[in-house]
Amino acid sequence: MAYVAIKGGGQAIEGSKAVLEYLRTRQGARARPLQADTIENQLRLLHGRVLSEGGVYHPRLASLAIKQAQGDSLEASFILRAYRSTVPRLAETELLDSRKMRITRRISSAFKDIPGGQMLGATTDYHLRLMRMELLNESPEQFRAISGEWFKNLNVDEIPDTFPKVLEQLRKDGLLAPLDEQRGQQSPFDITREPLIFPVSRSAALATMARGEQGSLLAIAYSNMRGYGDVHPTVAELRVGYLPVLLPHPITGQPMEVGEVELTECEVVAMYEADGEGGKPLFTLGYGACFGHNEVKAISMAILDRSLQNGIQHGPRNPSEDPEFVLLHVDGIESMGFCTHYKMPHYVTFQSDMDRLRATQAKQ
Amino acid sequence: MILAQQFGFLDEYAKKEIRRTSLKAVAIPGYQVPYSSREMPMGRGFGTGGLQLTLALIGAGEVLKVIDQGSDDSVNAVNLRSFIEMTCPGVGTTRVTGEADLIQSRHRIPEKPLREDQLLVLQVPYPDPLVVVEASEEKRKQLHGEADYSRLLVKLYEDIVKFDEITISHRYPTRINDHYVIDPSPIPRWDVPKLHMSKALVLLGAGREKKIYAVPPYTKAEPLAFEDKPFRVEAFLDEQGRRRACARCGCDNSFLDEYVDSNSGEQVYRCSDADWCDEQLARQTAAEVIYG
Amino acid sequence: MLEVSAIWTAHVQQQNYRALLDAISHPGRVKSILHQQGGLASLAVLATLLDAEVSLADPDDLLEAEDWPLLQASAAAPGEADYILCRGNRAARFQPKLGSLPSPERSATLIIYVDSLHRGELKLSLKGPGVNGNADCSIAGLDPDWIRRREEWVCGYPLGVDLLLVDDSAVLALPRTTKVEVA
Repeated sequence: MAYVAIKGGGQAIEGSKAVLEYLRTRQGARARPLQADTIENQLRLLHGRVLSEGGVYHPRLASLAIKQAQGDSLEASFILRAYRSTVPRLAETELLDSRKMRITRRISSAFKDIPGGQMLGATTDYHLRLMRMELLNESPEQFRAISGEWFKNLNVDEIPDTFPKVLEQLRKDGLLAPLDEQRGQQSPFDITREPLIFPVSRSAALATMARGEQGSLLAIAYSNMRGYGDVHPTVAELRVGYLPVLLPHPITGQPMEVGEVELTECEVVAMYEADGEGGKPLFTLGYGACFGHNEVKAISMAILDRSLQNGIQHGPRNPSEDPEFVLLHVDGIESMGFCTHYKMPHYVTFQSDMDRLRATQAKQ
Repeated sequence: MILAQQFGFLDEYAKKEIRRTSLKAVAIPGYQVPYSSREMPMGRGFGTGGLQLTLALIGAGEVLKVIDQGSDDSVNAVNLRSFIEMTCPGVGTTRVTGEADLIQSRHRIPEKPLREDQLLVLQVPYPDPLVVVEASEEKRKQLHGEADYSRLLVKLYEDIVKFDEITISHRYPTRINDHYVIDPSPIPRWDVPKLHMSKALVLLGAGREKKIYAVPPYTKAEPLAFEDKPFRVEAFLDEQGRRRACARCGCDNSFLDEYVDSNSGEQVYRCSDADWCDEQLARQTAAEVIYG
Repeated sequence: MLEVSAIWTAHVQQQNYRALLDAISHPGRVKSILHQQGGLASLAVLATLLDAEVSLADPDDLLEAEDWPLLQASAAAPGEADYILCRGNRAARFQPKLGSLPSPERSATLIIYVDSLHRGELKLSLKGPGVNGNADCSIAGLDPDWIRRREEWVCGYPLGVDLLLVDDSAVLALPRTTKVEVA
C-alpha cells in the first residue's frame, strides 16, 4: 500500500520532486547549469522537435521545457503544450507562402537538377556515422573558432533569398493539377479550438499531424512504405528554412511581417489517378510541414497525407489510410499521458476484477 | 520571465467552451458531447477531463473535495487538489463528503448519498462503451444516435455462454434516460446504482478523448442486464458466505479494499471510502460515549 | 473613463454559468442571473456562453449594436445559428437547427425573453430528467404557440432544441428531454 499511504501522499510527491531535482544537478562541483541559448543552438534538432510537438513557436520556452524535462522530448513538448492552454488566440496569420521561405536547404529527388539548384545544406544524410572522438575533449576555443571561420569563406551576397518551387514546373507541364486558389481562402480548421469529429477536413488532418509525435508518424508512414499501403512517394521537394510570418496590423489591418519561423516542408508526388471528370490522369500530392528542422517528420507526414486521402477516396484498406486510426494515435502528449496513467493506483477496479474472476471460478 | 496565471489556469475562452458543452451534456443525458479539450499540466489520463470541468465550474467561496480510489490522500488526488488550490485562490478544500459543494473523483462515488446542492465530477479514461464492439468513432456515433446497443448486448450474452456470468467488473455499461448507454467511468459496479435518480448532478469528463457527458439529477440510470442474469454488485462474501465488514470501522455495507497486511501477512478488508470509514468510526465512538 | 459592466467579467460569468447549469439540471427551477442595473438578464446569459467560436441570431433586434463586438459571436440567420435570442410574446417564425442523430449537440439553444417567470397566465406542468416527479411553473409573456412549436422540434429525440426562458432577472430552462403540458 506504499503509494496510498493512509496519509502522506503529499509528502511522497514532494520527496519525488526533490530527488528529480537532485538528478538534474548531480553532475557536482564542476557543473554549470544549461543555458537556454545553449539548448536552442547546440541541441537545435531536439529543440525544433519540441517546438513542433508542443505546437507553440516559442524558442526560449522550448529551451526551458527541455531543461526542465531533463531532455525527455515528450515531457518537454508536453510542458510547452500545457503553457499553450493558458494563452488566448489573439489573431490569425495571413496565408503564408512557402515560396518566400529563406532557404537553408532544399532538395528534389524527382529531378537531377531543379530551377535554382539543389542545395544540400545541413544534413547528415551522406555522413559516415562514425564516432568523432575529438569532440569528447573539445576546447571552448576550438569550438568557437569553427563558427567564426565558417562565414569568412562564404560569399553571402551570391546566395539568393528565395527559390522557385519544383511543383510549379510540374503544374506548368500539366502533370499535376493546377493550384486551387480558392482553397487558400477557406478558413483553416483550428484543432486547438474544435474537437475532431470524423470525417474531418484535410486541414484538420494536416494540423493534427503537424504537431504529432515524430516516432508515431514515422511508424505509421513506415507501415505504408513497407507494403501496408501503396503511396510509393517521390520527394518532389524538401525545403528547410525560415518563413516570414504576417499578421494584420492592429490599426491599418494591412499584413505586416512580425518575425519568422523555422520550418521543414515536404511535397511528395505519388501514383497518378484519373480526375474522375473525364480529364487526363494526373500525379497526386502529399504535403507535410512542421516547425523546426525535422525532415523525417515532414516526409512521414507527407506520405500519411497522401495515404489518408487515398483512404478517404477509396475507403481505408490498411491502418495508414484510416483517418481515425492515424489522427487519434499520433499525438505524443495524449499517448504518453495515457501510457503513464497506468502507473496510478487502480486497486478499486482490480478489486472489482477479482470479484468477477472469483464468481466465475466458483461456477466452473 | 514570469508567467502570470489567472484564476482557474485555463483562459476564459476555454472555460466558456467547457461551459457550453456541459449545458448540452445535461440537456442530452448520457450523450458524449465533443469539445476541444486543452492540455493541462498533468498527463492525459490523470484526470484532465475532470480537472477541466472543475476549473470551469468552480468559483471563489466554494468547497472542493478530491478523491482517487475513495481516498483523499492518494498521490493523484493530492496532486490535483494542490493544483486547484494553487490556481483557484478563495476555493476551500475538504475531505468530508458532506461539506463539499463540488467533488472530483476517480474510480469511486462516495458512499454517503449526495445532496441536490452538491455536484460530482467523474474522471473518465474511456468514454464510449461501444468501443469494445466498434472501433470507428464515426460508426459509434450513429449507433448511439439510434440507441442501437444490440451488439453490446450480444457481447454480454457471449460472456454468459462462456463463463455463466457477466464478466464486466467495472465501467459497467449503463443506460441513461432510456436512450444513451454510457461508460460510467471505472467505478466499481457497487457504485452504479448510485447514479440512478441521483439527487446530485453527475458530470463526466474525458480529457484525452475530448468528451463531456452527464447524468442529470432525478434521471434513470440502468445497468444493462438480462432478466435471468441480473446486474450484481461486488459481493464481498467470506468462505461461509457472510458479508465481510471493514476491519477498521466494522461497516458491512461499503465497498472494501482487500490487501495483505505487510506486518501480519493476513488478508485485510477495509472501507475504500476514507471519509465514510472515518464517519462510521466517529459514530461508534459517540455511541460508546453515550451508552458506554 | 470607459466602464464595462460586470457581466463581462470572469467572476460574474462563473456565477451565471452555475445558475444556468442548475436551471438546466432542474427544468422549471427559476434561477437568478446577475445582471446590469436596468440591463437585460438575457444579455448576461449571452455574455456567459458566447464567444467567437459560436454564432447568434437576433431576429427581434433585442440587442444593441454595441453588444455585438463584446459578445464576439458571428451573426447568423435563425435557421443556422447556435444561439437564438427572441421575444416570447410573439409566436416563433423560424425553424432552428435541431442537430443530427450522430451529433445532436449541433442544435440551437433558444434564449427567449418573457415578462415574468413567477406569475403568469401560461401554466406549465413539467416531467422528465431533472424533475423530481412533477414541476409546475407559470410564465407571463410566452405565446402558447412556442410550446406547440417546441413539441415539433423535440419529438425526434435526441434531435431537438433547448430553451432558456429569461425575464428581467432570472432564467428557467426547458431542455429537449422535458415533457411539457399546458395546465
